[in-house]
Amino acid sequence: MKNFIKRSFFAVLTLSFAGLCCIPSSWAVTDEQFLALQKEVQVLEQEHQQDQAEIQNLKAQQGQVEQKTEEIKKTADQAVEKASMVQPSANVKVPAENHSFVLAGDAEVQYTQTGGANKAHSSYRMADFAPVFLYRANDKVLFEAGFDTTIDNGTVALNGGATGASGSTTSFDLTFAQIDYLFNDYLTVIGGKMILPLGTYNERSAGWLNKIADDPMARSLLISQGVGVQARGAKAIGESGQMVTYSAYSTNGAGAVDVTGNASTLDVNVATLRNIDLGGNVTNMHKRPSEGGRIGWFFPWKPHYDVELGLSGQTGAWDSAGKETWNAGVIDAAIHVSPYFETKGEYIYTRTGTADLGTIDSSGWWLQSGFKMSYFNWDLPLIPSTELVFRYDTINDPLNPLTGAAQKSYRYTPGLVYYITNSLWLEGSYEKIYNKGAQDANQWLLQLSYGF
Amino acid sequence: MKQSKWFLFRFIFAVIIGFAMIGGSGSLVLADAAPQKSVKKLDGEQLYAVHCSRCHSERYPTERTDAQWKTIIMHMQVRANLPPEQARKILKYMKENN
Repeated sequence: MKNFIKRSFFAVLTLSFAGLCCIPSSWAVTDEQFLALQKEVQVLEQEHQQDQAEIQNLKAQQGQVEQKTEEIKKTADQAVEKASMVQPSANVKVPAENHSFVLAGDAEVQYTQTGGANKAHSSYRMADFAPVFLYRANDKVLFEAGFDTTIDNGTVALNGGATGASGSTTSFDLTFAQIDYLFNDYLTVIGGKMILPLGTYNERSAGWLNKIADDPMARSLLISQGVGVQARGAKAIGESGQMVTYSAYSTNGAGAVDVTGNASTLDVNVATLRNIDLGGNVTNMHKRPSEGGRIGWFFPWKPHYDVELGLSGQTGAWDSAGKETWNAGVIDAAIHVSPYFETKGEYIYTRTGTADLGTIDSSGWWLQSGFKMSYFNWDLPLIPSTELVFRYDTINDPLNPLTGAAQKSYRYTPGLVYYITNSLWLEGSYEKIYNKGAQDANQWLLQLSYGF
Repeated sequence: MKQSKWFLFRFIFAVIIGFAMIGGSGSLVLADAAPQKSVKKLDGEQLYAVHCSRCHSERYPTERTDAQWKTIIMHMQVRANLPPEQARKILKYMKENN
């Protein structure tokens, strides 16, 4: 066995030596070839170093860009922060809803033709633009102001106290301007020039709300607006829409033209004027302002079927000495039976103390009904968009004869409303006025009303 | 005419103020007097028909934005003496349908 291993070892050794002796000469590297390879390696090394340098350069540039980007970002963030301190960001919904400005209101154009006692040529008598500006400062505070810009027939004083017509006059009235503070769910406090809640007509008589173009005569017995303060609110009874409403106010009240408590006075043309001024005075010449209020009950038994009753009044001195009082009481009622039929009205009573004529009791009432022709569901043009209206109103004012007007008047007014859209109406009516002790009169009224 | 004759009127004026203030404290007897069994709950759409159409034609909810409706309903809450809870339901209806 040992011999076999020895033999094998020598055989392998011999073969290996023979193999080495047989390597071809072409496998050998010459000096030229070595130098060429060495040069090639050097070139590659140089290229590698250049690449490394370029990478370092690019890395440095990238760092600078990132730094600049950071700086720009920081500047932009600072700018946004500063901007948000000035006004809310556009994508934040809550601040944007916290306040809002809204323009609402109405506009009217009127055409009239009068006959009888006030006979005159027919004319486009009046154009009225009555914007209402609303600004909600937050959920508790609302500013609201209503203006009335009207162009009407002009008048000119003639020799001898007569009045002539001349061109037109443009009036600009501040109907109301008030701040409302919603104190809680039951009480809102109002300050400023207010529409007074004497009855409901005042607060619901904008051109596109009233279906007959002029006011009931008895409304002239009342004050429409006043400067002062008011507390008002409502208490729901259950969740069916039934409620009790209430309002109480203090305002300057009626005033005296010539400061006395006499029933009448004279103007520069020696024409007789009423001495009591119901225009809503902004000065109070008496000891203290007047007070008033309304309490109402509204009962709907289903949508479009309801009844409303109200009682309101005002009292206060009207002469400068504060001795004579002007008192008013109004009962109002309204009923809706279906979306097609409504009736509403007011009874108005005033008692005016005077220094020369004693106590003057004045009164009047009006009742107005409307019936929408869409009730019949007729497939006819125009008719379904029409509402028939009718009003009866009367006034009995012993102070009227002082200025040449009849003491008692009553009026029948049939008319119709054509609804072009839900807020654009064409109103037409014919009025027949009967004056006790004076000539009767009549009038055609056509009005285009738009609520916006 | 003596102003003292109108004392009763001034008394009513004071009662109205007191009525509102008591209502704010949530202890108004009137609310408790309403029988629960006869209560019908009206939603915003029905309340809109109940309160708005009694004075004017109903306006389309699409006529105004949410923020504008919020202002207008606040105005009407004051002008028409709407209970705030009902005004909120009407506003919700207007917002959901504009």
